[in-house]
Amino acid sequence: MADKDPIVSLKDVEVNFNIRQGFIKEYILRDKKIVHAVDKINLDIARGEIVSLVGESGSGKTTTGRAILRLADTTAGDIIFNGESITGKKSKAWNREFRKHAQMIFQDPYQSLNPRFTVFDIVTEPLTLTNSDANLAEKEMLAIQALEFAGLRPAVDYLYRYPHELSGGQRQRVSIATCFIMAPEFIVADEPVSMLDASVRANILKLFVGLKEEKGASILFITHDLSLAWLISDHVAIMYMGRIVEYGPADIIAGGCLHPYSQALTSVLAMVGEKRRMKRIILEGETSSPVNLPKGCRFASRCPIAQQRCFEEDPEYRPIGEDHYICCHFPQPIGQLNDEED
Amino acid sequence: MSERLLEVKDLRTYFKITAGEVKAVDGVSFFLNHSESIGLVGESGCGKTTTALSTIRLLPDNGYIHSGQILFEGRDITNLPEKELRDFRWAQASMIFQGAMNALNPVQKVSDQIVEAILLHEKVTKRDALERVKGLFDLVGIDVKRVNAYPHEFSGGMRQRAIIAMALACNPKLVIGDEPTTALDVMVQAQIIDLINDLRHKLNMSMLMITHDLSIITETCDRIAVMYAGKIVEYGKTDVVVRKTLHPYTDKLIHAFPNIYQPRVMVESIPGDPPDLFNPPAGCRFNARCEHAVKGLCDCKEPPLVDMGGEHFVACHLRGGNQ
Ligand SMILES: Nc1ncnc2c1ncn2[C@@H]1O[C@H](COP(=O)(O)OP(=O)(O)OP(=O)(O)O)[C@@H](O)[C@H]1O
Ligand SMILES: Nc1ncnc2c1ncn2[C@@H]1O[C@H](COP(=O)(O)OP(=O)(O)O)[C@@H](O)[C@H]1O
Ligand code: SF4
Ligand code: SF4
Ligand SMILES: [Mg+2]
Ligand SMILES: [Mg+2]
Repeated sequence: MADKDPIVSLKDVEVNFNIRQGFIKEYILRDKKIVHAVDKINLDIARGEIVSLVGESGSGKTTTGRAILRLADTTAGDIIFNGESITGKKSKAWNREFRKHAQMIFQDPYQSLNPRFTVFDIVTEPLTLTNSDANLAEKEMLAIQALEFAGLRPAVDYLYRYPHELSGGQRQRVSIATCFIMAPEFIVADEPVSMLDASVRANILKLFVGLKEEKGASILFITHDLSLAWLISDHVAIMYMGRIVEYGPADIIAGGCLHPYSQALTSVLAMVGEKRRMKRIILEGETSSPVNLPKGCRFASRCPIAQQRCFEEDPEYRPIGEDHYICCHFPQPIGQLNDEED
Repeated sequence: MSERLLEVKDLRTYFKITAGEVKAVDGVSFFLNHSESIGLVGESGCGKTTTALSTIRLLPDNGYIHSGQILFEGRDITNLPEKELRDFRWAQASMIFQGAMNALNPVQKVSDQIVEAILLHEKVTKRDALERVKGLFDLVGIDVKRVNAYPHEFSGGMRQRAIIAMALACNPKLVIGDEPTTALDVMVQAQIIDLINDLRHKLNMSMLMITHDLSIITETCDRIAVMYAGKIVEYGKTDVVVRKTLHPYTDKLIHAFPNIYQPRVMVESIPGDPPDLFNPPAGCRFNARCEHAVKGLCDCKEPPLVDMGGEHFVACHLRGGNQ
């Protein structure tokens, strides 16, 4: 996080949502419920790096990504993009300009593409939305370039097909081409491979690495799969109930985590054909949604090493080493690596 | 009692569609011993669920078993009449269906849904069935106090536990789990894997586990069967198949998963797409995507599944010895 000139910088960002619970509860009983979907997070994304945001479902990953792209309103805090605060920015003109620089790729290749549009319509939609002055021939050229970059070759074979005529992997490539046609500097990719078979996802992952390495794009890669985060990113941020609980270089996933929650998550990873593994730390219960937050550490009720202080005092997010941040009073290694090579 | 609980021999299950037939399962053979677990792994659409549904004879209307045998404790169930099938399903073999935890009836108590399943298969009183459900809740780690809960009052993990309880309700010898952990978060997945392993030992039960995630199989299964385009291409003890892999497809599949304990190298995709089961290719079904394919052999002649010793089977012209 020492980068002096990050492309994105989140400062104590909060995103709350009101939960609808019906007239009586809300207006008569004045019982308002708030989800702290994102709760005071700090994160820098450097130019030309991939940061993975990892966590269980409901931990706030998507909301964080949406907040950065101004698709969700922040309740508090500030978001800096390219050196400028974008918090609260809304005007149509601003939005058109912003979309040229920042784009999002969604999780579900089956739902994110309009079934009545051809691949050409889909891929060139961002051009239309940003009032590009490209003519039809130019649009076709750009579409072809984007599709070929996304690995759909020859692109002309795909241009006038409909989404239902494509496989899941091919649809995800169309989404990537759509995002890439604007050559954005920054991309939020929300679980872009979680619906794909292992045998086809590698090529999609390579595209992201290619976007970073060849085009210098910065990417926030959202995933629940820790091994994929390890594989493709420079840094990882692990979220729990709206908080980033640990941030560090991607290789902390292979045994270098210090937050008890991250250690539990990484300890249950099994690698195919690998005898080495960490001593499993199985947490009891399940993660609840961040509605009624406890006074102290929100992980305390499940934490294997919680102490009295944890129940009383909310830990602060702080540096614990170079390039390594943590939100815990007592960070320490609690498991160990079992080296039973044969 | 013979060692074999289940033996599937050259099973072919087809679906009738307007344009013709989809050969979803096309010559599948494997076996499972008492109290063992086997994992069936393969890409989406390769025929895993269809194999499972054939095993408990619960195919959709347009599907039928074209040929082959499914021997359950030596008895062929492919031609069992519907009446006997009803006794067989649930009491002998039950299934945790793909996505079932999200298909619970939202307006009926979870416990009542399990009671109903019991009453459908056994002649017991409702009260006895409910008592059994309480015991099952306890067994799968749901607080018995939650016996009056509706599905939406359960977390995802608890719903999956309830589905497991339902599958165990009539004490089956074989439980089939179709992607039982796929939709769950990492930690809940680990809890369910522990529960399944624990139950298997407690109840001495056999299991057929279906998943596209190899790492889950290595955590839960004694044997592994790798399926590709309607066929088993490799089959054996999990450790042997994973560490002394023979089939080029298995090899590619294993290398599609990253390994955080090894140097960071990009995983590899398998080029091309799996073949269309409506019109499967001649020869080895993997030939168009296989880097070892031999022209004039692999694209013409189908490789048989051969035992390479130690109950390690492979179907490949190059790796399967000289046939
Ligand atoms: N009712 C049906 N009618 C026609 N074809 C079907 C039907 N059910 C399945 N198929 C086809 O049979 C093949 C095998 O399907 P199956 O559901 O067994 O795959 P699977 O391995 O379980 O896949 P997944 O991992 O996606 O669940 C596929 O080509 C599928 O499209
Ligand atoms: N539009 C919304 N309205 C109300 N609650 C929401 C909304 N979007 C997300 N949430 C809630 O915020 C929390 C974080 O959600 P999300 O960011 O989607 O998590 P993730 O992407 O990590 O699964 C969850 O409790 C979710 O239910
Ligand atoms: S602050 Fe305490 S309860 Fe929270 S993670 Fe650290 S040790 Fe555990
Ligand atoms: S039979 Fe031929 S094409 Fe098939 S897996 Fe073996 S070498 Fe490859
Ligand atoms: Mg999400
Ligand atoms: Mg299936």
